[in-house]
Amino acid sequence: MVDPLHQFEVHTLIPLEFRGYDISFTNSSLFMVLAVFITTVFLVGGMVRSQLIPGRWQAMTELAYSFIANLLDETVGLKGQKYFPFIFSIFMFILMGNLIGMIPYSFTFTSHIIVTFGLAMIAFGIATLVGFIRHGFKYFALFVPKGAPGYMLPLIVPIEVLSYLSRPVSLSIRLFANMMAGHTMLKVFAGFTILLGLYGIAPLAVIAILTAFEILVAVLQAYVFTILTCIYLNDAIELH
Amino acid sequence: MTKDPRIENLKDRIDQVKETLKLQPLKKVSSKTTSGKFFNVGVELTAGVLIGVGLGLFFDWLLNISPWGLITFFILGSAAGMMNVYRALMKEKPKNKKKEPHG
Repeated sequence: MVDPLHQFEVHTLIPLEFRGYDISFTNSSLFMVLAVFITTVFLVGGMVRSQLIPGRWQAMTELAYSFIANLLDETVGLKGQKYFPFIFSIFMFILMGNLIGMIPYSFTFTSHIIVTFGLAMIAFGIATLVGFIRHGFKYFALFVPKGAPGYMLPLIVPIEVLSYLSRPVSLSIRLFANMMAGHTMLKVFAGFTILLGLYGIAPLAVIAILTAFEILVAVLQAYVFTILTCIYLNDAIELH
Repeated sequence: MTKDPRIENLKDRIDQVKETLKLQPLKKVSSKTTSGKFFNVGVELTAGVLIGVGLGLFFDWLLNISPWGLITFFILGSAAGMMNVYRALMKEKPKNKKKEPHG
């Protein structure tokens, strides 16, 4: 039977080294570049001949734009508008990564925890930075819940700090686990199809359904990652 | 700038639209399926424990106080994880509960 985890293997395409560090161009890097490239083509291509009454391509581009603009408006509000480029980039990058991963024989870079953790740390780092720039040391008030009695603070504050620090971890685990579980499951059922021969039609039907479900998950997880980034940004801006 | 009545009218209308937009309830966060909700619980709990153990081992290594850092931060991390779960689940409640103090 085919190894269902084989699809997640990273292998070097162009070996590179920088001061003893391995910075080779891998298949993971290739698909990241591809995701950026497709996103750029999708957005620039849609808007290059922009018209007042949009065609199909332009309508898709505008839909993607307004979807994130509305999301940011609902979760953060007007103060969040200037972070739109960041939120939009993160959404499109993850969405493209997830969707490219659905194409057979391709590689899903969002199924690696180091990639999702990197993305989550960028989101978390920017949110924390925004908080400190806007509020200075008052930002630490985030760790002191309202109405907590003073003698409880030595216990509550460390828990709140840990809870805050666990945000990028939970953000990255959520995306990585969903993508990896889905792709492994698809491969396992594909293996059943091969093994069962003629009766393989039953797992094949399951694969058809699961593929549709996985595309839903791909879009949904990109959305969840984005909305949580927005919520963390809102916490940093509003400081409640 | 001259006060054009049409501009003023437009401003009023924009304000009105903004007000109605504010009144609309926020869209629900994350996946609302049951499995999605319980998956989230697992993720939040794991994240809390992981960050606790990680920090604990780091402080053990930094201050050479093994195993006390691990013990303390494991407990604190688990508590943080449970608090995350509590918050994640409380968010699902209807909006009229929103008056509760945070935490």
